[in-house]
Amino acid sequence: MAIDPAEVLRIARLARLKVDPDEARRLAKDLDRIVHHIDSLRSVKLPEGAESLTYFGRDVHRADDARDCLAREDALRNAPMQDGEFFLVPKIVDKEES
Amino acid sequence: MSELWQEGAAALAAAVRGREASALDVADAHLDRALRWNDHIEAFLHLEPEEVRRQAREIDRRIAAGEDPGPLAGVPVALKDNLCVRGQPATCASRILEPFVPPYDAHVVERLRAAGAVLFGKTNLDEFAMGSSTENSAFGPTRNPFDLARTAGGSSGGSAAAVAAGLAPLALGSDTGGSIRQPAALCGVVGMKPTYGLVSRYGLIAFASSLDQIGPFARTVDDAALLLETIAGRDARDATSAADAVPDLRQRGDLKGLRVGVPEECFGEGLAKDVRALVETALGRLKGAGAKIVEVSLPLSVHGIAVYYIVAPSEASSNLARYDGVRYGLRGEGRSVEEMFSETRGEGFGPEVKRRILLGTFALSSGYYEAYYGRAQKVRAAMRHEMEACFRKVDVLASPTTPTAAFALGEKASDPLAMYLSDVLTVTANLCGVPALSLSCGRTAEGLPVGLQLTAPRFGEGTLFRAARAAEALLPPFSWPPAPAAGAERRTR
Amino acid sequence: MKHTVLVGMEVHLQLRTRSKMFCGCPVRFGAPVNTLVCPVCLGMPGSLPVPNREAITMALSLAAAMGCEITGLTKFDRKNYFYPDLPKGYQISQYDRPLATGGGVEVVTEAGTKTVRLRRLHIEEDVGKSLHDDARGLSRVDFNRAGTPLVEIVSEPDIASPEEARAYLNALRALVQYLDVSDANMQEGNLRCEPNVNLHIEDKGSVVKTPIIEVKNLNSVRNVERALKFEIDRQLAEYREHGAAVAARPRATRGYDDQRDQTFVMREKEEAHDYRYFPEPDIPPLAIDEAWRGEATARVPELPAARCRRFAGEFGLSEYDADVLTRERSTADYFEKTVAAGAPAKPAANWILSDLARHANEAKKAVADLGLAPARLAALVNLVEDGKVPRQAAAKDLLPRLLAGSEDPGALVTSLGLARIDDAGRIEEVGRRAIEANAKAAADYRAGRKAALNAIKGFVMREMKGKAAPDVVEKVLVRLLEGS
Repeated sequence: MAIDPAEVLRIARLARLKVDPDEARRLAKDLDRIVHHIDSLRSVKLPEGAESLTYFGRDVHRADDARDCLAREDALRNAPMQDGEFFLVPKIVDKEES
Repeated sequence: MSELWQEGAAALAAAVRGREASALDVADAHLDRALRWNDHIEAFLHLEPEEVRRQAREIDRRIAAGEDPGPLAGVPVALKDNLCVRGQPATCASRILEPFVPPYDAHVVERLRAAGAVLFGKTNLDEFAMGSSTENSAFGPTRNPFDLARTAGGSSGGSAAAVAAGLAPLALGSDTGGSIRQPAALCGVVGMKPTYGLVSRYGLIAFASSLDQIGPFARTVDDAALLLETIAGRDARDATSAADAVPDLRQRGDLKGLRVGVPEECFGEGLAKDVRALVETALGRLKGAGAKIVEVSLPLSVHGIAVYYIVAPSEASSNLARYDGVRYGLRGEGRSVEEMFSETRGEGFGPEVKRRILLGTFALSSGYYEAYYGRAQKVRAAMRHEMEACFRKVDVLASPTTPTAAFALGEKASDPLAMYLSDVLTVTANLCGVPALSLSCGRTAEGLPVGLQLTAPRFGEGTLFRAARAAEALLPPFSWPPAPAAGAERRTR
Repeated sequence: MKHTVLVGMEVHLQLRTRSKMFCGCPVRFGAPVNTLVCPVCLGMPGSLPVPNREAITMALSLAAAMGCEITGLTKFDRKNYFYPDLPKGYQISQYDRPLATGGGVEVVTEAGTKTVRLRRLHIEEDVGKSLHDDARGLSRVDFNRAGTPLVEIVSEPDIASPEEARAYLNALRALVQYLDVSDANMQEGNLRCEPNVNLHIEDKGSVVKTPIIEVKNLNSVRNVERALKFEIDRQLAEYREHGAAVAARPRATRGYDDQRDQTFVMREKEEAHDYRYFPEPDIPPLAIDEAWRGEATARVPELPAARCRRFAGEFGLSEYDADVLTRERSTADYFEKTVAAGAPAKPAANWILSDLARHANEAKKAVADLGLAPARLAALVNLVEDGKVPRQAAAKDLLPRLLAGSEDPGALVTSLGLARIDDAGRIEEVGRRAIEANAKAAADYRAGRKAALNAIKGFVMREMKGKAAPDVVEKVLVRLLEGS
């Protein structure tokens, strides 16, 4: 898989990263070399139905107990913009909810 | 008694508990040294002398009141700046978190407080722990105390350098692909990555969730064990924290009959001659002390870097999605919220973090998932099986920690792939979730420390520390870096 | 030209746990903004999620009630996208190992009973709420709701009409209320649904499939029905205008505007669907073993459909009465308790469905919450059935007093003077006056128009304030009219 500046810009949009065209060219070069290296995994022979490893543990959950929350001023303290009640953000143009 | 800053943690705690030294004296001795050295090595991002003294005075007050503050009474512990301390900055060496002050303590911080430790500032790192040299810190690199023109390693370079230079007897770091062991090796101290799940990650700002572990830095194996003992154990707030009993870290014993596996893949191309020579000498001494050296092979480990640079960036791309300028941290300009997101993240993240976010986003994106992330996790599972099979034949594995001693600052900064490849010997332990420890096995002709890495099976910390203690006794003892020349301070800060 | 409607339903239900899905913040509706939050549900750096076992058990009991197949091993996944009310930049959801698959919901409409098959059921966390109407051109975000446990239930496109869609939602709502796992209130947003709809149009010997449209912004069952009606008509009109070419159009999302009663196109971002799902590394997988499954299944009570059938059979109620009685679990329970307290079933059902239902409606409460203990209702029913107090008087005078206080029904009958009068002498006295006052009706009756008796009877009942025993009144009047 080769990565060109256009592909970098596509991924950057997905990741909400502003990348200018110069940066995209540099990043494409770096990423292309890295992807070329990780493509070596294609040569690894894996048995049919090989399992994956993400987890070392199993079966951890908590009881349904409610506990104290943050005080509102502590919740809002780090916000770049807030009005004492809400977090404020620039206008949301269109609604896309899951 | 030598100077307080030269003492180890166990000795300091004993002195404070025995009222031979006050916690305030201990704090001042380290503050004095830290404030002088930090201009040269940039180990700390934040160090508030008054806050340190306040904690020390509190320890002294409790001792005067007849209380026992705990096994780390009055011992300064430096924290990597990706660990949350209530009310103190936690920047991750990133512009995006520069304004962030967590409203809570990490689990390890709670444990340290409960043990009577004095939280001793926040140390430098590669931005979000992504890097092997601290050159990716948004606030400038940490320098190696043994050679200021060289890297202290990374990403926990600040913690390693602080302990090596006697600015703190103990420090915590985090290790995702070698970020504790590699800087420990390059700075000549002990650094250890625990079994995945042994230490709660609650309050550790995530880089790659399935690989990250918090671990200790110290100048001796005993001190490293003391710190690990303090922070290990189940925490209900981290679902990946293991319920298994914490291994007994105090085991002592000689090396007779200990089966030490030496993976041939760790001595391949790219291993510097001087590193190889020092490690082979160390292995010879282990053998001389009765260890059984067994040649083993881990053929899949050669794919470690490839697997790691898929898994870690993928998880990171998601873990770092929360930095969107809404609830905390930096916010960029933007008329719409979408614009604000891209500006915030474009401005706030440095080049390496962007590279990894892009790499991870790519690996997870539609059409590539199976070929990259899916495949990497399968190879990872196979690597773990291979490692488990190996540990049926040997008790521990021994290898160099890094392929070379500390490299010059700037040497690899423009070549990300070369930098990634320097993690080749350390990533396997993270991918397989096993514990590994680096201890110094001597210095190169240039006076640069070289690390010997010991690896044990999951929850094999008991054997790991026992072997490390025995090895430590056979290897050159820790020696202090030379005092930096006056006038060599960095003028930038 | 013939067409078939295919509607699939995606329903999100907020579970009624005490705490959130992955942290200990309470789940509550209507708390002051940003007061039910903590580092975990605000997605603060370093915080970690730990799954709420009770939420999973609730979801399992729902899955069991719908006959789903429950997985032996489940895990969570991250769904990655950016939105200001999504705290972590990803939502913890389930992708390739949902908690349950298959199963179905029995749906009753005038057309009959059918089963809507289910595709899957999984758990996820809710997002916060954004308000878009700030005068300064800013949006405001409240994270109280963020992290509330949700169950997502995805149906097969088995729903064939807007009426069936309504019936499906009502059935689902009844089910979750029976299980007591959610308030399932669409206005409060604890039940949300996104139907997807398309048509298979048979025309000139071939079948054209219109593109699948997902409809959003629906906040009531009624709006779901209206939006689907609109959308079906719109798709038909589109076909009439453009013909088979519509089949090539892409799937789309449309919003519903309830003021205008129409759907409108929602702009979609090109990358909208690249959610980059991957296993949530912070939460190890969960084995759902026999014991856990058993615990969840044991919570499944007799469900509305079965209970309705039983009520009809066991108590001899009409299908209709049994259905209405079992729609709400508390009402059905109340009915059964009343019967257990000694009331005959049919009159008890009648009291609940007519008189009590009216009071409940006025008070905007459930019948069971009116404050009339089943034993007291049973006493009331028996007073009437035993002829101690007339039905009408009992409903009009006695019931309001019973609802307002705690007096004994029998004692009230006496103190209010409501007891039925069956003394033929007293009734005859009033009867004679009634015949005099209704001379025309009396003449009509004697002329053979038997129905004229009702007017005279009504006069007697009015005069005697409804307390006279109707059968005695009738006997006395007939004797007076025919005997003289």
